[in-house]
Amino acid sequence: MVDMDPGLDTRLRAFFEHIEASRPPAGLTDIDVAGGDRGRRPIFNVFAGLAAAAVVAASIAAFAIELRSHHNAAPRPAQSGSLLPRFTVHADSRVFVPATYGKGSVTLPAFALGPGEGVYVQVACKSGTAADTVQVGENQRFGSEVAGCSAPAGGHGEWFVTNQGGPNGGSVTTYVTADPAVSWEILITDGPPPILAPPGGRAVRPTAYGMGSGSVPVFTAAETYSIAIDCSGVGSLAISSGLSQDATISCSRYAQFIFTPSGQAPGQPVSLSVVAPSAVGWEVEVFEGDGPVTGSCATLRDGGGLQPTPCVASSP
Amino acid sequence: MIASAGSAQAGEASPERTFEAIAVVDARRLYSLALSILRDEGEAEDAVQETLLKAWRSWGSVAGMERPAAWLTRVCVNHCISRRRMLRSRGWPQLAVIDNTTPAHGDPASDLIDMDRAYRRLSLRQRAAITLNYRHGYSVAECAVFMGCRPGTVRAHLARGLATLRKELGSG
Repeated sequence: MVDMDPGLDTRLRAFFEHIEASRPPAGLTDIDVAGGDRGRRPIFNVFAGLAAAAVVAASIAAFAIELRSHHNAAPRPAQSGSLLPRFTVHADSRVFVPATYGKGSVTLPAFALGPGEGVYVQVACKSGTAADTVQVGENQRFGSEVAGCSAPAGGHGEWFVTNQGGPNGGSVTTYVTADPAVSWEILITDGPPPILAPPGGRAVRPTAYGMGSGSVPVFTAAETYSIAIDCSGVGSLAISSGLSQDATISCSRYAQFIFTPSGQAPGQPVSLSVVAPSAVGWEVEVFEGDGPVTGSCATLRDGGGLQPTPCVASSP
Repeated sequence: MIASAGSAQAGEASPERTFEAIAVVDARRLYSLALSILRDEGEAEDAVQETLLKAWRSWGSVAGMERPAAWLTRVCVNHCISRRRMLRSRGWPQLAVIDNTTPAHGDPASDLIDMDRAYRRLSLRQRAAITLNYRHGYSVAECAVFMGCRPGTVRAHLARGLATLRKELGSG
């Protein structure tokens, strides 16, 4: 075995012990072995439970491993093996501040935003002391605090601000304020984060953005449509389509919501109105085609790492 | 948990049963190994499951090996390295460093975070060499077999990896 100086040996041993203390995921050994042809290619399916049942029932396949697909699976919270949660980065996002880590208070390199551009901020933190928060602010508008750094799993937060660039754009400098014992990571990309279409859904109109109360340009859907909303900020957002169902969402930090209004009249123009405090940012996209269950509180998020804030639906 | 739809006869060690026995025993070990190299739970899980899958598909020959666990280790290590290459080629953002702080030695949580960050600076082959040799106690020759390279290459990965750790941690 390699020779190691005592200091590094101690720290490396503790590090590996930490890794080995991580519990393997529950599905790691969920293996369904059916007798028969082992040479045939096994079935991989994101709907592994259904697939396995079908395989056994129909006796048509030799072997199935319940394999979680990391590209299509639901968001996965950080597990015990992580020191900090993993950020979500969409492939088409512009990165203003790459995933950056540090301790204590720092000023991050400035970045430029164009007119009307927004930002999407993801922050994670962890401390070995009672120090519990990281504050993130910048020279114009967005400012927030992430708590829970002292918890065993650390803390995390995410939010977006629309029109951060203002009418003329400009340079943005981000300030991170934390106790020297707090380790943090931050990632800032363009925002709001994209709304992902539900399975079978097609966008009826481009995403609309706004801060506070406003309206979404009139659209006409040929089929039944669903409304997807992201919002961020302190307060709640209410959206009305003028039909029989509205939705109210708690936007604390970050929330996502999708619902299908009842009483729709395909082919007729629809106008949506949004009522929210001025500090709440939002984006709305309309999909038609196969949508969610009416009034559901489903999330559209993809990718792993950060769980969106649960939404609250209300139906009149 | 492993479920078998096979109809093993009493007194027989069916291929499914012997595979299950190996998988149960080795899955956790392989997961720790993969997690040590990849530092990503999801990728480690994939690496283990794909290793077990490969083992199952080749079970006719693997089961007859003198040391099937060693074969599993080699497949897992190679899968970890090749998988990470694929991820890197997608252009995932690399972690930048704000080097404005002095590590707070002595605080276990802080030390772990510092070590994790330093460790992530290593190449995957350096991580594999350190994990296998330092943590799992394999000889350099055995590491070379697992990693598919020459012993001299393993020694180089070890030396460079440890040098990087010392530098990143400010302990050398």
